[in-house]
Amino acid sequence: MNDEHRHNVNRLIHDLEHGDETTRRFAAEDIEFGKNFEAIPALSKGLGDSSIAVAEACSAALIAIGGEAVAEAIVSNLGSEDVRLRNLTSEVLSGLGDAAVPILANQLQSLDRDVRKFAVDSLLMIRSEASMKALVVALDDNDVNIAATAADGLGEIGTANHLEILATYLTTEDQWMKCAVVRGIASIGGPKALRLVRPYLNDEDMVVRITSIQGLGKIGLVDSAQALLEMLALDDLGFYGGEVVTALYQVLGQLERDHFPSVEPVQVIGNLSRLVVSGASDQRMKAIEMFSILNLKDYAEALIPALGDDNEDLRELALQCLEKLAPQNLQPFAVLARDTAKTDLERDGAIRVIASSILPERDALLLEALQSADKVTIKGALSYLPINVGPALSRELAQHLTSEDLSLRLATALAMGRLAAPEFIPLLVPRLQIESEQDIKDAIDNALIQIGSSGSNNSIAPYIQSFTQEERSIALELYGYENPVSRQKEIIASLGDQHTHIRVIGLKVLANLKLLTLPIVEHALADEDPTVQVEAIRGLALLNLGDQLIPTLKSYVEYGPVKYERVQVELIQLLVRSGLLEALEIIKPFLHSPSTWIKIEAVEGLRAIGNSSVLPDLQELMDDADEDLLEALEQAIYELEG
Amino acid sequence: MSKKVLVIDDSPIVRNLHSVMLKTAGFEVSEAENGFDGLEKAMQSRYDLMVVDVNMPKMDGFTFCREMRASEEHKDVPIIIVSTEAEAEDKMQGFRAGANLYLVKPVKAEQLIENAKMLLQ
Amino acid sequence: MSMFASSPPIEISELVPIRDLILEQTGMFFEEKKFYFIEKRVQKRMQATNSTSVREYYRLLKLGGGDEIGQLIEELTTNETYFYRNIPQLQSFAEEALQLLVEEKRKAGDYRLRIWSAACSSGEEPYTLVMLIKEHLHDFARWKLEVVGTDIDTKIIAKAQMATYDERSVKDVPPVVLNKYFENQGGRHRVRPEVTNLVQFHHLNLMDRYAMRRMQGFDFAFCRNVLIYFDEDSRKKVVNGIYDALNPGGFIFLGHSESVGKLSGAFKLVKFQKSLSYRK
Repeated sequence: MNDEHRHNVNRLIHDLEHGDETTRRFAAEDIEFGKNFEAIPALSKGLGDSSIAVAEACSAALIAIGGEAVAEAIVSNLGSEDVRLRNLTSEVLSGLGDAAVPILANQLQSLDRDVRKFAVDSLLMIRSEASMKALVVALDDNDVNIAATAADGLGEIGTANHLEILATYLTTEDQWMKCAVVRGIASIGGPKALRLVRPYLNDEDMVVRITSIQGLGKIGLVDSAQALLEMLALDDLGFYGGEVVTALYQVLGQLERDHFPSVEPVQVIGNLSRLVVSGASDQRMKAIEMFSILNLKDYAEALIPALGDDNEDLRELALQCLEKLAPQNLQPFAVLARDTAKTDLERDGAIRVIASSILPERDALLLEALQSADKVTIKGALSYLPINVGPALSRELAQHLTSEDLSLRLATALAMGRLAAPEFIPLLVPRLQIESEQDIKDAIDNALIQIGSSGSNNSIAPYIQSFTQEERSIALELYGYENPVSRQKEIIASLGDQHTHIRVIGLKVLANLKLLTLPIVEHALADEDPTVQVEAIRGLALLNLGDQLIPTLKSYVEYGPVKYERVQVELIQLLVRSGLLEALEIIKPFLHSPSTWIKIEAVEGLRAIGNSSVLPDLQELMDDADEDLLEALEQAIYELEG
Repeated sequence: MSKKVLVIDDSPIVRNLHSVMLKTAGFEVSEAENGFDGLEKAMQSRYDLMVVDVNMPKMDGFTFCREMRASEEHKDVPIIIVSTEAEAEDKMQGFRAGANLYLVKPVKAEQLIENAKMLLQ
Repeated sequence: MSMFASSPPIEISELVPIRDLILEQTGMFFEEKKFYFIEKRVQKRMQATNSTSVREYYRLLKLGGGDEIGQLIEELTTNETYFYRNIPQLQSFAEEALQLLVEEKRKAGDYRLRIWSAACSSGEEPYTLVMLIKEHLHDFARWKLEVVGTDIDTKIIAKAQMATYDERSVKDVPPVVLNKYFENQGGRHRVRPEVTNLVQFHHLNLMDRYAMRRMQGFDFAFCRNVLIYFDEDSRKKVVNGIYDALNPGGFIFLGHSESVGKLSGAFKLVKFQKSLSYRK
């Protein structure tokens, strides 16, 4: 250690002992950074600093320095009257890890109860093999709180060896200690633990019983599930039901389905039905899930009350379970759907269950719902209409698309999108033009997209690929949906329209109809608007000109300066994709573009073509290149050389 | 709507047990491990009832109770204090701090549930 | 099939360069599982700029003139920073903490107020604070108010200094305030000089120990936008740094779901009628 270093540390220690609050804090922070062990005594005192901020900074520094010396320096603080100092010291000790274990083990012998408690807490926080060994001593502490904390904690971090040790404490008379031991044993787990815990399921003490039930959940073996199912079949389960279901859920979650113990549904259904509607929400949730976990198909009706639960997540869970269970009898749900005395949510849920069914009576029930006078049932049926419904149901949709109620219109548009049948087109297109609500418009447009991309022979397809919603709407207005090919003349006429967006739309439709020709494209290339030019270049790609491509592009480039960067990019990319060698000559000039972006695009393009004759041109650029261009150049040169 | 209860106790075992008891009665239960923690939770959500231990680090139960009573929003929330101390003067301290009820540990399930229901009417 | 028929799906690997670019320019880091968040907004911007590939869009972002990155960042941060964000917390500040502190200062004859808005991004927060204080101090004319906004990103600071915003940023501003402190500039909202004159901005990296130590003498410190991106240790360091920067009795305000108490026990918990606060 040289003198300068020592001087610095001394200065820091001085600041720590004599400075104002901010100075002391900075000093502690710097010591933490430097891990200066010479400061340990000062830091140790600093743990009791009047400023909490300084004390915490000292704590962080002590942990950073680490080692037994620190533990020794501070351990006496555990007996201090100052609560804050004791807590902070405990934190530092646990932060020191194994280095502190021997010191803490000694403290377990202290006559001061609080010191022993802190020692146990610190050892628990360290959670290492060494600390566990030390903790075993605390099991015999005559303060039950300390012994119980040790038992519980050992269970959490202990191994099978500790089972034996903990088991010897089961005979304790103290209820809390017994609970802690049971919990600890359950935490360790395994068949032996199960054997040890099981007898306490019938303990006369409620607290011990609950702890054992929860313990079974933690242990998680088939026999645990067995024991819990037996409890679930009891008539007088009463108060413990929620915990039994929670534990059962935990256990079954860890087992493979074919390892489940067998269960007679009729035995457990009584308690389960009750638990679906009583108890706290997480308990009700598990009771609901039990139905699908145990596949209680025949008792699906018992979940109906959950459809009206206040808790949204629970209702959703119940619905999902019902869908999974696929009830064999839809009548109770149909009855619920029609019952106007029930809440909208329950009725909606009932329809959803019906819609998810694959039974033959499904369609008839849905048709009834669609034809009813009641908005709730109509809306429900629309929302959940499955894709494979028969034609009778499809026809019913038409009237609701023009309903006065906007939620019905929306639900109908969404349903039509799901079903994606071409016969909806004549209904959707006129509606698109008149509809005033934006989300319904979006839904209608989306439905058209679904139909148009479904591949069946339909007339919407030309308006799908690369169209925005607005463009589509305009195109439909201009050219209609009945066989757009027959409107070819009009479409071509649009190419001369004064409005840019109409010219663009015209090009897009022709492209999708595969009616683009070279004259059309050349004309568009000469358009004054860059958006049209871009579209034209894309069109060129579709024409498959082969050899003709380069001459066409050459004359286009020579015809006038290609001003817009967007267009240049499109051009370069087209040239690259052509795979033609002559493309090189057209791309090269772009290397000298004033725009870095275009330069890079050109470099990338040349790289992609892969012809090393361009190397000199690329190398020439390196001198003046900025960071991004340089990166692109290096990459390209590297690839072309190699 | 279910009633929400906050259970505050530094012992995980006790917290767990009181939670279980209250859950069975249909309450939604949240937990905190000391008064300070409890204070933060109380500020973030509405609770219909609080069940509070006395001896806890960082902030004890009586202090917590007083803080609740000093706040406009929480001064009427029912509070049950649960403690190991059974002396009359401890109970007095509890009531002076603003608790509605003082129960001595270990608390029986029926006792806790019945009292909770009664306070929530 | 998405609603936007013309936008192609994006590969995760394609988003990485964009993610890195965002990090470089804003300090915002999106881990892999948040990529869906970027993806949607990138798709939207791609459609708006007619870009047909992510690579092309990335190139546009990086080199196409600089405005596009601003647009994308606005899309990404639109939900994150705007005027009057988290009104209950601001009310707690203006109606309770502020009132308490200024009363103490009045008694001591000290009429200076200094406020630090850490990770202030494009400036909405510091300007909001000025407006709030002007509205809630009946004797504002007597006070010397100084608000300091700092951020790690110099570009966003430059934007903050321009003090001009679009509709999204001001959606939660009460109409009275909007009229009083903003003026219309070409369809956008510009903050008036009487407010901007009270705010100064500079660069600061919260993890730079020595730079943090230069921040001193503040009565209020706000750090509401950024700690979620930090790990536990870094958060503690930042909060400790803020502690040093505050005057005794100064208040700290963190983001809604962050707890000061868990990061440092040095602050005192203060209970107001409607809220909890922490002060040095």
